[in-house]
Amino acid sequence: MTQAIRNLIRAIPVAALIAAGVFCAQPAQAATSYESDGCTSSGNTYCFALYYNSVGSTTNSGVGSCYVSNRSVPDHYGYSPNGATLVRLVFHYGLLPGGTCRTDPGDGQPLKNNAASVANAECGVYDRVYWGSGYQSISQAFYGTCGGYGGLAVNLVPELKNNNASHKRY
Amino acid sequence: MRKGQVLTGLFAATALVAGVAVSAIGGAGAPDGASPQTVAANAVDESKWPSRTPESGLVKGLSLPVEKYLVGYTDVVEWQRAQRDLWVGCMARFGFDSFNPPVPGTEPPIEFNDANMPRRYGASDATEASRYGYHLPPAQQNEPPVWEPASGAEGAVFLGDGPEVEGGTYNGVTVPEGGCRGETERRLGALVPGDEASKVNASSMTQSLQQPAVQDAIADWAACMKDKGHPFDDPYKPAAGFDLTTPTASSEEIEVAEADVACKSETGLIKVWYGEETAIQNKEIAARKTALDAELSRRNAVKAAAQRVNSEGSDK
Repeated sequence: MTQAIRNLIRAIPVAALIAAGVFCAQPAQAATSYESDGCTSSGNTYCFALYYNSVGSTTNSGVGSCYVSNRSVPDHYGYSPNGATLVRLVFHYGLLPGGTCRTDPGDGQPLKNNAASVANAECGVYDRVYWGSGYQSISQAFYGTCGGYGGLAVNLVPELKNNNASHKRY
Repeated sequence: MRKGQVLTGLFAATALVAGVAVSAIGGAGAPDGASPQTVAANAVDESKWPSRTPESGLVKGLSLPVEKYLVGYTDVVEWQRAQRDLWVGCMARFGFDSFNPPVPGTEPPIEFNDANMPRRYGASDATEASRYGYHLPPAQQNEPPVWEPASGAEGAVFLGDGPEVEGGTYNGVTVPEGGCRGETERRLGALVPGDEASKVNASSMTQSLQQPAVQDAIADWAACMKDKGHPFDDPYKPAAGFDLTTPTASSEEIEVAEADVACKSETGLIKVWYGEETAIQNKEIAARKTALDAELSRRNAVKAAAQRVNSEGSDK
């Protein structure tokens, strides 16, 4: 993926995105799609969630839009599954059951460098968030609680807030 | 403040009661002829686990002061084994004998803890750069299997929530508050670094980037990269310029990564950067020592709880 392509994609207004977990852009950008669900679409509900909003002082349940995953992602910008198309990772809401990830703040915003809090509901798996693409620079790991999201979200350290570029499971 | 602003301006088991063979990992159930209770977890290949300090490259042997207060991978696996053991034991009380989460420790990270020394300063190993670019080595690209309790009664008993546990019991047996997950959490606690430790680990990086010595070293590295035909002003930008989800690195990615590590070696960037971070962390740790030691004490209590669980399991 060239820098020119990335710059072009960055110029696409996120407001034009269709509100769905995975959705296609306008015909002119037919080679680009947007993904916010890398977990429940495979039939799973115990996911690692990155939230657009911070956890509040009165509740530690993420309520705003989220990106959910159960695989490692080396670049929160997105990926190119076949070299010809581009999948951008974005926040969306309504992806999880219960009272989490249910409101629209952050909907359609890019995942990369925009997350403020996380909840790891994976089973027996830690997820580690990195400041740099390719699992580089400082990081913060979160143990897997295996289910449930209410009361589990925690804020990223200030240096990683809005500075998330990749995450890895282990 | 966004990352761009920052940088642009600166530039066994412990013997699980319920282990499974490595060959069975990934399945929701035990392999044929082997229940979760019959196969020990010491089949895990611990030679893949990360060492406490990197063993190669420009960061070989380096560790930061804050690492004493972070959670190392060996402790993670010990805790995960205990967690799994408690989950399985609890679920067995309700007749779920095939409740079989993946065995911990099979797909380790390349770094020992959140300090992420192998990649803290970006690419740092010339051999890896020439083979894999900014990609992970193939052995580290595997992931732990995705696994979760089955929906219905199994999930309800595990979480303590669902129509199958109406009245707080399942098949006449009282379900603990929060299910087997809740029971395990109460017994084991959470193995996480304290907030203070996480702050020191992260803030020393941003503080170091404000230091003139680091800024000068990054400028030298950038000049070196430009001379080699790769004009980057930020040591973390090269990796972001390639699709790292491809199975292997492109020749262009490898070329840039090789130049990246070579320039770090020529300019001494990592040595300078690590030195500044070490000094910053030593000051921060001295200023926060009481809080950090309290966090460490709490973490050691969790670690001891995990050791007790695993020790009990080994006697069964």
